[in-house]
Amino acid sequence: MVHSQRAPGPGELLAVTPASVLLDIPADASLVATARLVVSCLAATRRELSLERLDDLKLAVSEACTNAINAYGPEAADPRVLVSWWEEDDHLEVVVTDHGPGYHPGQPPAGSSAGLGVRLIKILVDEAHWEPANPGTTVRMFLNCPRATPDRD
Amino acid sequence: MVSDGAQRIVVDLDRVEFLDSTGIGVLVGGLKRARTHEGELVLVCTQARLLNVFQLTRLDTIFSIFPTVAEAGSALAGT
Repeated sequence: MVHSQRAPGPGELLAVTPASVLLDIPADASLVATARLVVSCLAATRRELSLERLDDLKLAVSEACTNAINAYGPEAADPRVLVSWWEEDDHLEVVVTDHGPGYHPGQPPAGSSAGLGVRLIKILVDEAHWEPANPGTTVRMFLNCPRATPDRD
Repeated sequence: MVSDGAQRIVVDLDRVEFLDSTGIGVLVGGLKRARTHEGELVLVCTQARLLNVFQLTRLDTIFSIFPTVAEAGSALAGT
């Protein structure tokens, strides 16, 4: 589902700005791969990125989704994770939001791999911010890259 | 595997397509359990994308990583 402010004219597809895609999934570990693949498909087809950078993005999205899922307790009713894709001429942005009780990025729950995930995200993307989602946490991840050229495929 | 009595374990990651901190957590858990039982767990991996994850997390200093199962096996045989 790609939203745009107006319908693109002939040959204008890649000029649509902004374009966003929203994925709203249950907070279930079995769906992390789905989120990762949707984002990597968008990145591979819409942005100019090396395979290594694409791998970095996939791993960062995976870590963010895993942390979002773990931010919910076992008693949460209909816990969901929102993954959205945004793009501009010079960068892409992936936003992952949960509405769980969560934890501060600097103080992940004991015994979890959350701290490792946060560290990885910071290394893998060009910029990452954690913001409160009242309740919950939003992580915004940015990767600098140009749009894919229209005649690439 | 450790609870089944195995103490020297080779994990071949050759056909693993994706590894994140969840997968790393499982491997670290296996390594801890093996060492608790005076055993060892070593990895076989040649894929750059996976090796990169171990380097980024600095876990390449914790795990012994070999390019082939044969080399991993002979390293374990010497422990």
